[in-house]
Amino acid sequence: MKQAGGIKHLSRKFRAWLERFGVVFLALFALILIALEKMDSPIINGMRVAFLEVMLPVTNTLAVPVRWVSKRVDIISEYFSLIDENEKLLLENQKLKQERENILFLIQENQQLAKMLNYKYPPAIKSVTAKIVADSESAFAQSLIVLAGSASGVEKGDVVMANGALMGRVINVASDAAQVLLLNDVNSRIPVFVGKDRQRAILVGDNTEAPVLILFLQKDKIAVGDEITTSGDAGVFPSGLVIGTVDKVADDEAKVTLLVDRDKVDYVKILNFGQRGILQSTDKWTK
Amino acid sequence: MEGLWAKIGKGFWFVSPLLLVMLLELLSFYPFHLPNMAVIRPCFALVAVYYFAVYAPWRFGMIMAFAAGLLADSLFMVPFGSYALVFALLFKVAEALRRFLVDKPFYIVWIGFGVFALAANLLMWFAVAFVAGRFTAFLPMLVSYSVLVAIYPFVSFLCFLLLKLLLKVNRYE
Repeated sequence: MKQAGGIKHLSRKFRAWLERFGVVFLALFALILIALEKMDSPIINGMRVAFLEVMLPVTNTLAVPVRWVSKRVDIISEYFSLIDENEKLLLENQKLKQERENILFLIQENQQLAKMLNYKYPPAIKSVTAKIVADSESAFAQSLIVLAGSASGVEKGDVVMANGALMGRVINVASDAAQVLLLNDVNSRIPVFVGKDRQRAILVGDNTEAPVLILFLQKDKIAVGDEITTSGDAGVFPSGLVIGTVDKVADDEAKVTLLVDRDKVDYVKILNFGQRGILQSTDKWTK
Repeated sequence: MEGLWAKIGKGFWFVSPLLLVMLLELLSFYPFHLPNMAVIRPCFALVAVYYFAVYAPWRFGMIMAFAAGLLADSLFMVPFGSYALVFALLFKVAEALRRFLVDKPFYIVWIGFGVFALAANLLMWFAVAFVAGRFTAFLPMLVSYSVLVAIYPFVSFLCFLLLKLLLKVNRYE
């Protein structure tokens, strides 16, 4: 009886303490977490992966009714443009048939030339197609969660593409899901080539839809419409992956329109080119 | 002797405000494929944290706010601890001011949320800038903030319904 009273007294004391100092304690704890994030601590990555593992089934379940409604809305809006769409598809089909003939001819020619030169093909690239289940496009971050993880062979640093263009890279991997850092996230920095002159620059995300090009040497050689491709300098992305085009050129930076229209992408391709580049050294440091 | 189901039921109702906040976080995170969503996607859960702090702080404590914030940090890929800090501070300050807000007309509480949400968004903006080493565009944050304030009546209505339900359940228990 006396013991129970003691426990009650202690609990009341703890509550009073929590009431008074709880917010200070929690704020300090949060600040420590932010500082650890700034230091790129593996503890934070571990916590993110743990949350991802736990929340994935919940996210998937919640997605079912929302997906159902969204699909119905799409069907209704598509119904009104059926005739136009059909005409467009017929034209596209004709064009694709012609292109297919050309491609078959080129493949044959390529094989013959490779045989003549005794050319050794590079090893095949491992790829996984994954569905986007969550999207954190906001003023504070630009990332995705896709339904493919370590169980499907996805690794940290893998390249993420959609419609033949680069979207970002995998930064956290759980067993059945992965988090993707997009090119327009504020933490994304990629060495690129601009235009036909292949001028080097860095593509930096700023949490808007259009990332910016910085650190280029000759501003007058950059024009609106110039194509941006990866330079492969940091060794994370292979050279030549298409990113987008220059949209606006200012004094010391240029705005870029990304080729991938995020609003129309449901699936992404995760590719492992077998290169880790500078990520290897950062991983070593964090370990 | 209380049955197991009754205990589970009690536990469920106890965590139901937290579940609603988590549900709102997941809803903010769903790929809706709406044009310009990258700019306007706000964190709906902020409304619920404010609402519970003003109208029923005994139903949703500061630790629950902090835990919900950690989940948001993890899902939104923002610096870990930033939403946790924002949610906990928002809850504590709104709770401290609830005596002033609780019996005021709806529009005053709404304006109050506008002020709180602005502070919360600015704090998030600084946290992101601190970790990234530079400030991001201000306009998207402002647009996202405006959308968040505009949807306050809808999300707060959900919270109101849950509180009403909780009152009913308590009456019959």
